[in-house]
Amino acid sequence: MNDDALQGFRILIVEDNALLALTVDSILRSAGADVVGPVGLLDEAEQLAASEPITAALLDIKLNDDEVWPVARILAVRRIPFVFCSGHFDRGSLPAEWDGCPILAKPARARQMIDALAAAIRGTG
Amino acid sequence: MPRKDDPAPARGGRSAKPKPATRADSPADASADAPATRQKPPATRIVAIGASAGGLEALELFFDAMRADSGVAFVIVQHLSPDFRSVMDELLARRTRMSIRAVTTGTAVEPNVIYLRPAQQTLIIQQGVFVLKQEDKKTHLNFPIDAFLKSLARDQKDRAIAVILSGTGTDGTLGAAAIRDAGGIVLAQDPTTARFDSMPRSLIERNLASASAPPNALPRLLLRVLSGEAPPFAEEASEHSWSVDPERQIIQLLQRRCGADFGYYKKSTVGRRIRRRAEMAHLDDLAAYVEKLKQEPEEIDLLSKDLLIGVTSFFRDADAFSALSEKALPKIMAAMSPRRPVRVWVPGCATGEEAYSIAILLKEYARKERMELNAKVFATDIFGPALERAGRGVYDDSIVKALGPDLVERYFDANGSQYQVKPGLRRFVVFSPHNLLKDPPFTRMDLVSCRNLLIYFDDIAQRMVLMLFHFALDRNGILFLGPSEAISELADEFGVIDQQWRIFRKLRDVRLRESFRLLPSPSLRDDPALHHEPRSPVIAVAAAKARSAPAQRGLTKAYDAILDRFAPAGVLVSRDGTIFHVFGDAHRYLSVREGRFSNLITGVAIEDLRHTIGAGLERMRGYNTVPFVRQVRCRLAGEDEKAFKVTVERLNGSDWQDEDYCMVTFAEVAPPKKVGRRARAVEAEIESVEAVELYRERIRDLENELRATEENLQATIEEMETTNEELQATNEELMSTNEELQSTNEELNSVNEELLTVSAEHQRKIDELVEVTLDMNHLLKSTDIGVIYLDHDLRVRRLTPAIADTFNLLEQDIGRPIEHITARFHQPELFSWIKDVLAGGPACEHEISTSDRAFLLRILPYQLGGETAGVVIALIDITRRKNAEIQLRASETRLSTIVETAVDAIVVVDERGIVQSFNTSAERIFGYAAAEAIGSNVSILMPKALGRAHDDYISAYLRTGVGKVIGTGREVEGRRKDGALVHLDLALTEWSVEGRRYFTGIMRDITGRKEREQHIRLIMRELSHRTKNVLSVVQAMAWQTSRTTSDSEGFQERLSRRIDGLGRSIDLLVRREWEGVDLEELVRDQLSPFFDDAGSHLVLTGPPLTLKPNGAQDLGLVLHELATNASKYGSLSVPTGRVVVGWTVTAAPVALFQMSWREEGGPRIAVPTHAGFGGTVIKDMLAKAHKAVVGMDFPPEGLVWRLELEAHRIVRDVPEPEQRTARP
Repeated sequence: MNDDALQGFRILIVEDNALLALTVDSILRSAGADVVGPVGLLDEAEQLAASEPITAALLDIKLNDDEVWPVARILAVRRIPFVFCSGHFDRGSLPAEWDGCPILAKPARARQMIDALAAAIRGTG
Repeated sequence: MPRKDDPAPARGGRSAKPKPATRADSPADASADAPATRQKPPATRIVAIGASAGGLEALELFFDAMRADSGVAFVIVQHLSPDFRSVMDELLARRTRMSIRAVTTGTAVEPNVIYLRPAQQTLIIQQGVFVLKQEDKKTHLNFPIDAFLKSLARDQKDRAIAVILSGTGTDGTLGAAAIRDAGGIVLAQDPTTARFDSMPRSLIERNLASASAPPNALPRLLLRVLSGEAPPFAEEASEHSWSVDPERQIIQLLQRRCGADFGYYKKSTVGRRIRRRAEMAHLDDLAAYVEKLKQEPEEIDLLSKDLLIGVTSFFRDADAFSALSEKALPKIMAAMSPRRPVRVWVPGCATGEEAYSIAILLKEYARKERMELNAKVFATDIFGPALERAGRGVYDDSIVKALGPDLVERYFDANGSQYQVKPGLRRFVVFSPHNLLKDPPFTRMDLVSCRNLLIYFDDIAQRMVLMLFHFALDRNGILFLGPSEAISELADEFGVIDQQWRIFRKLRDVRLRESFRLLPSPSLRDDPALHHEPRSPVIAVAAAKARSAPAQRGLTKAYDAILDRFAPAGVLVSRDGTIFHVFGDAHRYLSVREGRFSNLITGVAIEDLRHTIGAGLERMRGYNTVPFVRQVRCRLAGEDEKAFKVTVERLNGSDWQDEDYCMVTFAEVAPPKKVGRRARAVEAEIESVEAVELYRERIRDLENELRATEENLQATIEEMETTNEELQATNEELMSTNEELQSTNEELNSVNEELLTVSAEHQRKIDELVEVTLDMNHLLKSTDIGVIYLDHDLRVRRLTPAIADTFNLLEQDIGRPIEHITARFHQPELFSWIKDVLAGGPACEHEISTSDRAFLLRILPYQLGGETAGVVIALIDITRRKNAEIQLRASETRLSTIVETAVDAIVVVDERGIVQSFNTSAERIFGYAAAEAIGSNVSILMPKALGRAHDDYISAYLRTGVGKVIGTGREVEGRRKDGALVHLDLALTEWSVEGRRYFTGIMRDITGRKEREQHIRLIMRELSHRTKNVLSVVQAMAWQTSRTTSDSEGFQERLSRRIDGLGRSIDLLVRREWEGVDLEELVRDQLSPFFDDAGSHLVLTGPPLTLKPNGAQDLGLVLHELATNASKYGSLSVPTGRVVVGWTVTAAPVALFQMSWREEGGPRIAVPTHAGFGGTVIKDMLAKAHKAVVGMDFPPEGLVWRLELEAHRIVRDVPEPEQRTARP
């Protein structure tokens, strides 16, 4: 799994489950990415999204009692590509605001995450 | 002819040679007298009489007129019903002294005997002996008359005689032909006198009848036949010619059917009406119409109705009635008293209008004068149906116009457009049938009102009726006629009260006539049924004139001329001298004198003739028929004395019948010689000189004789005078007695008349009652309802057979008290109920039952004149109704219980959508009370949008029959009263009662189910998310584990342990419904797999704390890894080791969650040389995810692990800091 698909990219990870955050962090690092986060609280995620230099982001939608949409909006404003990753939503149930945004269904394999992010960064996601 | 072999006749020693005997006997018979039959018994002549329908009457007339000793044997052959016992013998026995016998076989013929044919047997005669044969039943038609006549013709040859009387059909015709062929005689009843003329007519039409005559004239003909005279008998035949003028025939038919003699009605009127009826029947030939009348008696009724019904109305000619009221009533009414009623006669009252008008007039007069009216109006008419209508007194609304509203209101009860005379007026009027031309009149009338009736009568009848009215009226009584009717001949007897309106007053009491009965009119004169009517001379003369008038007028004139020229002057008088007719110049012998006029010839004859005529009439008394002739010298007015021959002669002739008339004729006796006047004078002088002496001597003798006689006479006269005085006294007494009797008699007469009319009314009432009773009996017999009528003493008066079902009652129990009867039901109160009703209580109803039946007992008072006179008990079997009621009630209760206890709402609406019923569940589901919902449109139970469409939907369904909902279930939304919507499962059915359709909706509230379904869907989705999250975690664990484990066994072992740990965390979360996890619980749970007895190995210190779900999962994983390490290398790897876990949450400003893990009592440890997945989790995971600070020390006595992070990242809420020590 050590490749360089995300070499040099700064990827923001928003994920409230600690083990998943740890695991995704490991996966993305192993793909060459610099990881921003991981972060599980909405306000911290908004702060990072607004202030950090970020190439792309992987966003878990459900964050404890919150949902990740404000973060996505900040990223969208900053034209930073992002990929949703959720067990609750799929392409069909995603709010209309996010029509066309890439989304990964949980549980997602490491390869899928890397490819999705890479594609989003390339602008073809 | 083998005479020797002829069996000898049974009786009379008769010769076996009938023919010569007959010839020899004929002259003897011709005398028709007893002496002839005495000499030598001749062969008995046999007269066969054939009769059928109507024959009895004819037979009676025949034998009435037939002498009993004629020496003839009569054989009556009638058509007899086989099932009917004939009483002919009894009936005829009253008419004849001849013996009457039924024929048996072998009976020989005897003279002066009437033989009757027995029913069902064919009678023939052979050699003078009767033979009976059983009638052949196979042939439907039997002609017994023909059969007997044929045998008679064979047996008696030309001695056979047959008489055919009334009867239908043509039986007898063939037999008559046989008799005529054999040379015998056939007599037929004159068909016009036969009730059924077909049998005799058949003979006459075939020219078989030797002669025909009315039945009472037939014996005379028969005797002439027996006497050897051969028909035809010219005078009889012509007199009883059966072909008569059809109009006369019609009048005869009418008279026979309805008793009215239209011969006295004006010919023109009657003829016109007859022709009109004939035209209506499409018959232009009156003869054909006569045939129709004979066959259809109803047509006679219609014709008579046409002839009898005149125009009438109330107060016809109102001015006439006011004239009557003003000019005539005051006097009549003044004479009225409570004991003396005003008597009024209204003959020819038709339908009663005139009679009621008079009654109203009287009532009105009495009302104005404030008198109590006491009056009797006798209203009579010949025409029964009209009287019946008059008696009912019901008229249509045209009377309002005729009478004016006031009178109508006062005297009539309105009933729709009909008006009935009130009883108060009705009781003054008595209607009765009366034939003015035939029946005796009413008497002592104050008023006779007869308007427009006389105009229908001819002159004779008019005169007669007027005389009759004169007789009927009291002195000063009023006669009120129609405007075009006159009193003509009776003008002297009546004073005029009002000429224009024909109101007259009777002037004096004088009897104008002896009898007021008219003879049958000429049209009926030869109707034999009427022959016994007596004739009065006036009418006889008038009738004779009328009869001869048209045909013989010319001849009469010739006679008159001859009489004038040649006949002596004469006067026709009755035997008491009343003048009827004066012939020639007889007036010369009569002179009218001053004083009361006498119509006796002895009163008007001139002085010199009077005594002679008187003597002549005297002579004619008794049976002297020798004319009385006397010569009398007398001086006629303006003439010299002459000699006249006076003849008084008695007249006898058929026209005069038993009355005797006398003819008085006068003839001038011519002087004996024709000499000159002078010569005659000289002759007289000489004669006188010679005679004087002779005369003087004679005179002296006579004077002497006269003197002696005078003395004698004087004595006798004195004697006579005494006797006379005595007689006078006796006579006066008799006179007064007579007068008393007379008045009593008159009173009795009038009472009798009244009784007769009242009786006629009663008879009508009785007929009605009989009819009503029959109706009621039939009703009682046929009804299924048991009814008992009880009288006031509770005795059974009537009952219906149906009552036997419940009471032991039968017809024979009528009259027994009801209390003696046992009922088949036990009802002790029955009699008290009956007595309550009897005591005036209201009608009552009770239900009673026998063992197997139920009855409705109804007790009604029997009202009689406002009083309860008994009770009527009606028992109606209501078993079926009762059972049905019970079943219905049970079924209703069952259904309503179901409806009311049903969990589902059950609502019934009609075809307009109006709620009819609404059960408890419906109340609960919709929030409406049943009372609110019933009567409202069902749309109140529907969401607004649906409700609006509902009415259209129903009407479309009713129109097209196409509906989507009926019979199928579906889910719908309903609306509660509070506006909330409810989900309903609806099943709709349709039903109909009495043509009205209803819909029943059964609705189940499925709102709760819907919510649960929603919830489950939500949970399922959540479950799916959580599962996916957990799988993500598992995936991450697998990924992490695989990175740090080289062998697959170790991987499997570790991964499954970690999944197990994850499972425990999830268990806890699920137990707390994913809301959070108690920290202490989490710790115990995660550590529990690592030791058996946690109590001795685990020490927990910290406040109660709830972790967020993610925090619990994260921390759970960390605790799992710490415990795994401890069980491998640390304190949990030895039995004596233990773990101390402590936690706390620091106070603000930033609450920090601090936790420590310290191992004690384990083997000595060293700092680990390499970190696996467990290490990463323990040291880095929380640091990375939750910005935690994790510290680890490895002193030899055991691992110490510390954690500090912002409490809100993993803790749900921060409790008050509270030191808590885990229990040992």
